[in-house]
Amino acid sequence: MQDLSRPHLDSFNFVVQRGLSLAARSLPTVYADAHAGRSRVQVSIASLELKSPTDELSQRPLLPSQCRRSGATYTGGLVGRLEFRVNGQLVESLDTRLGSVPIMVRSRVCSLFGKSGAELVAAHEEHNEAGGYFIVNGNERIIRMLIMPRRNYPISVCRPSFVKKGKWFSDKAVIVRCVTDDETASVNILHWRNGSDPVMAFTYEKEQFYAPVGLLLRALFDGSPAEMYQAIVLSHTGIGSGSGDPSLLFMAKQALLYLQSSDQFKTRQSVLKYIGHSFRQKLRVPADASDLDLGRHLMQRSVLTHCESDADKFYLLCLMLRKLHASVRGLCAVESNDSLMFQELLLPGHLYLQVLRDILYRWLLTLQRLMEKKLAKAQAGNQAAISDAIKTAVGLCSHDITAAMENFMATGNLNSQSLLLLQNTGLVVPGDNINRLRFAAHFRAVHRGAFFTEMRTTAVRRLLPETWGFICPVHTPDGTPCGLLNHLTAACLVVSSPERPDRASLTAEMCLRGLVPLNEASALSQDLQTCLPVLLDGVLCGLVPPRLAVGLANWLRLQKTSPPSGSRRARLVPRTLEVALVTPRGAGSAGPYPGLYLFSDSARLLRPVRNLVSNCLEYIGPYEQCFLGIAIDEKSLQPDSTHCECDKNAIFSFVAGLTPFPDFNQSPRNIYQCQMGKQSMGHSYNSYRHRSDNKLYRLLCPQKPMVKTNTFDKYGMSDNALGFNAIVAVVSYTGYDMEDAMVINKAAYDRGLADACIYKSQVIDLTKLEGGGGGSGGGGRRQQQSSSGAAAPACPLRFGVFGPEPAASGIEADGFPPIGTPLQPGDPVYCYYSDETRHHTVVRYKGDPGYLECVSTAGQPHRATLTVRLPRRPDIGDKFSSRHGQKGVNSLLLPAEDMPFTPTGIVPDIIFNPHGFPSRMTVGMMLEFLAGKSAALSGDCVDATAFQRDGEIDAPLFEDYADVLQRHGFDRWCTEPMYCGFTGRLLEAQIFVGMVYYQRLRHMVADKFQVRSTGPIDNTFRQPAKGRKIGGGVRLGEMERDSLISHGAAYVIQDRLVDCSDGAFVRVCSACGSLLAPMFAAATAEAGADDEGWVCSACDESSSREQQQRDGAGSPGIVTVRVGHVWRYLCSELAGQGIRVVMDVKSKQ
Amino acid sequence: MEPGQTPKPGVVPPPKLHAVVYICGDCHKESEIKAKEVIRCRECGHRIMYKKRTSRMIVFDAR
Repeated sequence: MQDLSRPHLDSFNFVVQRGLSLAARSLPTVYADAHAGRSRVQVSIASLELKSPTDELSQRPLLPSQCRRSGATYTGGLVGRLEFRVNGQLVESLDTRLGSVPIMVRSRVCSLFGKSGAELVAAHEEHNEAGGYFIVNGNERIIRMLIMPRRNYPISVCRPSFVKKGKWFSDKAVIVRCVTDDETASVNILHWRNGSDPVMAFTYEKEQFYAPVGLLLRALFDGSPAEMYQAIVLSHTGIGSGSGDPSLLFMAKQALLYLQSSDQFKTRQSVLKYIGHSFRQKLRVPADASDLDLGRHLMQRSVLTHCESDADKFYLLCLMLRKLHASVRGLCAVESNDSLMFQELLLPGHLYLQVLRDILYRWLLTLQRLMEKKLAKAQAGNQAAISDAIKTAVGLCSHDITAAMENFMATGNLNSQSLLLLQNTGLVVPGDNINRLRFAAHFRAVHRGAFFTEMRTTAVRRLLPETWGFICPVHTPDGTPCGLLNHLTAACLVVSSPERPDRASLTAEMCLRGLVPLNEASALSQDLQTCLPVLLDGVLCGLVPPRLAVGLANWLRLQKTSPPSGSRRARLVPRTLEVALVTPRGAGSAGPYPGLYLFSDSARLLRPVRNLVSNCLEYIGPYEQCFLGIAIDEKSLQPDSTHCECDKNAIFSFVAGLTPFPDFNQSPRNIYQCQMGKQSMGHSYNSYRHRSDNKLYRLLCPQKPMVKTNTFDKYGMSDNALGFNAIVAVVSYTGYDMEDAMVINKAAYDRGLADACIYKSQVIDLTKLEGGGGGSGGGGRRQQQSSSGAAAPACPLRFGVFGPEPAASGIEADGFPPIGTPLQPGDPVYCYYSDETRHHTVVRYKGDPGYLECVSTAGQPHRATLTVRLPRRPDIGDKFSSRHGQKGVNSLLLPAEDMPFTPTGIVPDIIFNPHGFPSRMTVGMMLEFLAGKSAALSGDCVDATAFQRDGEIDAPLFEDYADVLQRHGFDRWCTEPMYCGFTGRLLEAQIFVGMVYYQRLRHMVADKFQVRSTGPIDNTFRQPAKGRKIGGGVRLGEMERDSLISHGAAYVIQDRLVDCSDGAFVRVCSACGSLLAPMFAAATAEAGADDEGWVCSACDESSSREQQQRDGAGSPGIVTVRVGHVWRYLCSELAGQGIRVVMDVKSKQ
Repeated sequence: MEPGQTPKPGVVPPPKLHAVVYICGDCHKESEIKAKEVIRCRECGHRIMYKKRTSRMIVFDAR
């Protein structure tokens, strides 16, 4: 269980251990001039550190359970060492608390780190608490894992949108997403332009710029143009048309041709100066920096940032050019970002670090502005004044970090200037804990990105073969997020901190095995033309001849899987290294671009397989998996098999692995079960008492399934079981079981079958109440920020009954009713007293009837947490499901005496309709009937793991269970004769009776029913309002109306659409048909007025009379008509637009 | 009613409120909550205190 959140935890630990110091190093130094420009003051963050959360008052470690119960945020201090320099000399270094930032539970800085199960229980956690989430305002929040393009690997893509970028642009490009050690990412795109030289797109502070590739090559390389030319055409990796592919040579010439256009481009220095000069306005550097420095700064910050040296950048750029050329010429395949081969994950810790770095960066810019202001006033030559000014500036802007970080965690929204992400919202999701499965699945979920949800094409949602073993094919939601929200398999790992091999020594070792280093390769020989590039984390190490490449790859793999030899020396080849050898294909077929690709970076997926050569466990990545021969089991070994799967069930995620006999079911049913398993009520916690989740479901008597998979035992799911074993008969019995409905035995209900309850908790903070209790609204906010520290709160409100007067019946002296009080809507639920007004206020209970379960205080008289228990016995309309995607609704609680019974006297708990089987084809469920019955008879649990006897037709699984049944005197195939409960007669058919594990889903009638005759209406339209919460109605729409018309139920339509809705009267002039002209004129009592004193203001008296005479005596001029108010409103709106609505009225005869 | 005021005739004296006991979430010591007092455990200083369930019968229609 604790392994499930490992990617989250490990990546956060990386932040704590290494990431923060790396981020501090990459943050810029801010500066301000003092003494009228004579001295320059610089401030930089030398180091950053996260502190463990502490209770500020008692100085004891703050526990996550305390934050949950009191609705607080689990934060630790972010301490930074600020260094002040004046004219380059270190003046002072200051350790400052920059703010409080959310801390991941169970991470290295968490109070729970390293605690044993018993200690965790003492700290009010689960004994197997996995952590991996944050607590913000008492709610658990999880940073979502997102799929990103694989870092430091040039991908050749073809996107029609590129053509729109400008003149000559083609749809082909090579994209590389460069990620540095501190997880800062930047994207470089090398565009192919038809009939011109390629250009490179790079970004600086979210703004994109283009530069001719020749210019960048020149800015990175000292050598002569001839040497540059040789480096570009270094090798065609065996996919070109033999030696010296003329088009490649032409491309190289064209790329360098740009440099001939001006004398400025002759040398490297002059090009850097030119670049620096052009970008001076855009870069954030001191105004007096030289053009050369600016150019270097830009190249360092924006171009192939993952390479440390300019030479590495130069050779990688040359490789990208060759790859681009090959893809344009059709010599290598275009790669797709949708394939897992070219993907990695954005890990929670890494995102956290990027966000924190961004916030610190913005903070530094604010600091710079403040410093400029303060230092302008500082006296010349006064050091103390300078440091005072800086400290004031630091103090002024230091609370920003806390607020910004907490806001990010609470909302998942990001407003950043420098972070390059495809989405700015939905990065953090609430960790809703309906049951343990749901919660654990959050940590394995991998989202493709919000951008793709609106995409019309289904290409991104497709299940590709590359995902085998890494992403579960079963566990994805149906509906909108289908295929975009995936889940990692149970065995899948994520590298969260890079294990870098020492590049120099690894290159030296590889040179012994055929690698030609670049400095030797530049002396071009014919042999090198077909050599394959060797890339280690996006840096070109050298070239290897194709005949030696296989040997080199095999050697690397052997080193990778070999057990650690010298304990003192670090491994030359880390175990997590991905070794992918792509050999050239034969002519005519464009395969992937050949080369030997080595990846040791973080954020990659890995999974264990057995290496058949060294017979060791090896971790492989999705890229190399495509080029390895992995046999599914020992029986299906092929001649080219190098690896073998460890476990056939390794393709399943943790949730999918819990489905029994999934290999017998129709595949969509297993997908549905993954959804419903996560919606079923269960025993989420053993620490219910200490929780204060808004809504918490609890099945009161959960059971362990008798038919279970090995995943169930492996993850100890019996601690958090989420269903019950029920005796089920498959029979069409009362007629109440039609259309997926199911009948439940009333006696089983009375015994407590599927009984459940909901806990609703609420943190009441009196400072946040509306009005703030007598003008303390502003004070309330401030109180909120330092809520953990304030000993004597300024808030005048507090819970309790003070003085002799009883506040309300049932409220005790502390201001709350006794524990266990039944609460009906309108009952007093708490009472507070104001020191200012000296009055008590009693707050009444709103919501469904329930019982007061728990009241706790949080150390302050104005803050308390209330938990109410809402009983939820199974009701008609509640939803249940078996573990095979067979959901149904309870339609009847049938008394036990009316239920059918077997000759042995067994009365089923649940009646399931046989029509559920034919179209759904859930054979796994039928097998569970059999297996469950045999398990109940023998008393041993049955193993229902998938692929148990794959391909063995002679001894199918169910024979075993049938034998057990027969041994106990039952029919082999689970059927039994049954007697009708109403008549006592034998039912004609043999009934299939067995035991199935049922889940109770959280969708319950008591939370959903909606009923109204009259109630709240919309202010403008006077139609009934929508929504259950406000007592609104359900819409009777067009289709319902059509149905009523077809039935001829006219009065029902009148009742629904007029009388129970916005029925209104309108007066119409029968002469002119106007709705607006009739006026009340009783006072004048004119002759033309009708009985009620209404006249038409538009028609004159005579015409009105004429009309009256024509219609016959007694017919009034003004007629009252019943219409919907919204129609009357429409007529007024139309009149406002100058459109007259005329109603043709005839009086009733 | 003001504290110093003489009770008027006819006003029934209010029923005495029961003592309210809270249990510390950390050391499980019981302590009575008094008016205008800092709410935390007297033994260990823990902040989270749970209200104790009364021994009085509350649900009368329990079946």
